[in-house]
Amino acid sequence: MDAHIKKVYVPMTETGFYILLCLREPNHGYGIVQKVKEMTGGDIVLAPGTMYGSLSKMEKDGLIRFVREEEKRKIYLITDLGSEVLNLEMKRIARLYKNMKEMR
Amino acid sequence: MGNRKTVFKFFTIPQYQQEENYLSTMHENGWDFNKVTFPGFYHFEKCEPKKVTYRLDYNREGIRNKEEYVQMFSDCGWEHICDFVGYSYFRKEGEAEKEREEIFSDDASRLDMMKRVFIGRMIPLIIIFALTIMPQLFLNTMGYNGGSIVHDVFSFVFLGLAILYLVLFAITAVQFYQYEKRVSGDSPGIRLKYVGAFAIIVALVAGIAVLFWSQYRSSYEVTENNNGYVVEAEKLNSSVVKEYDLKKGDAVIFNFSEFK
Repeated sequence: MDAHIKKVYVPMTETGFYILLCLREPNHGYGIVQKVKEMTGGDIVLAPGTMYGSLSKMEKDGLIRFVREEEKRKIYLITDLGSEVLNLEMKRIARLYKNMKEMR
Repeated sequence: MGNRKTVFKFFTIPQYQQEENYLSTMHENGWDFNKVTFPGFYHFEKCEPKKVTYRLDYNREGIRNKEEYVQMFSDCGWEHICDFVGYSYFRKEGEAEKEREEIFSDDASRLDMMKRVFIGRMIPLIIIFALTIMPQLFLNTMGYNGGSIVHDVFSFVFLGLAILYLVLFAITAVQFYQYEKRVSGDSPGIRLKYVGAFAIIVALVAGIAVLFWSQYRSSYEVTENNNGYVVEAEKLNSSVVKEYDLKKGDAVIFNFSEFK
């Protein structure tokens, strides 16, 4: 993993994290928006400008890749590099959670 | 007649929020925004007064992949109206404050848009400024002693443009700074970045000035030949040779603009 990826994505924004989490299965932008809304009980509604910008940035950086197009919607899937970044983030968040529990 | 109206409006580059508010206010007064055409004509059509939220995105990649880009926004309930110089105009019924209607849901992506605007809109302006306006200004004013109306007009036009650009750059730097401060909190690093950016532009201007003025510094050589003297004026990139019918002991006064 090069320095640029580390600098930009570790740690990453909540939006970025949810995108990678969802893209372990093929999905399109709006599909991710709906899934995240469902997962967070409607608390997090990702907006289209944010979604579009994040997806194209992540595709350019090789974290996700374009799979196919369906009814004008681009379907993406996480790459090996994306999984690597996601795992790092998961470990970081797990540690955060563990420490929070211990300190309470 | 009366069902359409066109308004000329000027918004500086970081003022897109004022632009969004303007379009919302117009809709609330019963003017439906149709399109914007160069250089800033806003076309409206009469409609029922309504509360509508307008939002601008700047994403040239989105405009290149328009179908898919517009689809994403329309899936989220945003109607695409038009594109203008890299900006895409969207709207949604209802009030933004009440319903959390935004096209960006986090500060990182909001700042990313500002960066795209900066690269897409500001850098070309800076290049135009450095490569055309400043050289023109210096070429028009260097060694010029007055006397030509065309010359006067050009000098003033370019001087005016140069000042306008510098003021615009300063305003833009301040607006970008305030925006970034609001989004990610104030820090000495951010302040340094904007002061630095503006300093670079000023340094660029000064650099071009020095370059041009130094070019004007000429050396003159007087040599004797059979019918008098030859005065040779040499510039860095051009030389002018003029012959004068002079005798020893004559006083010579040079009008430097002759050598231009």
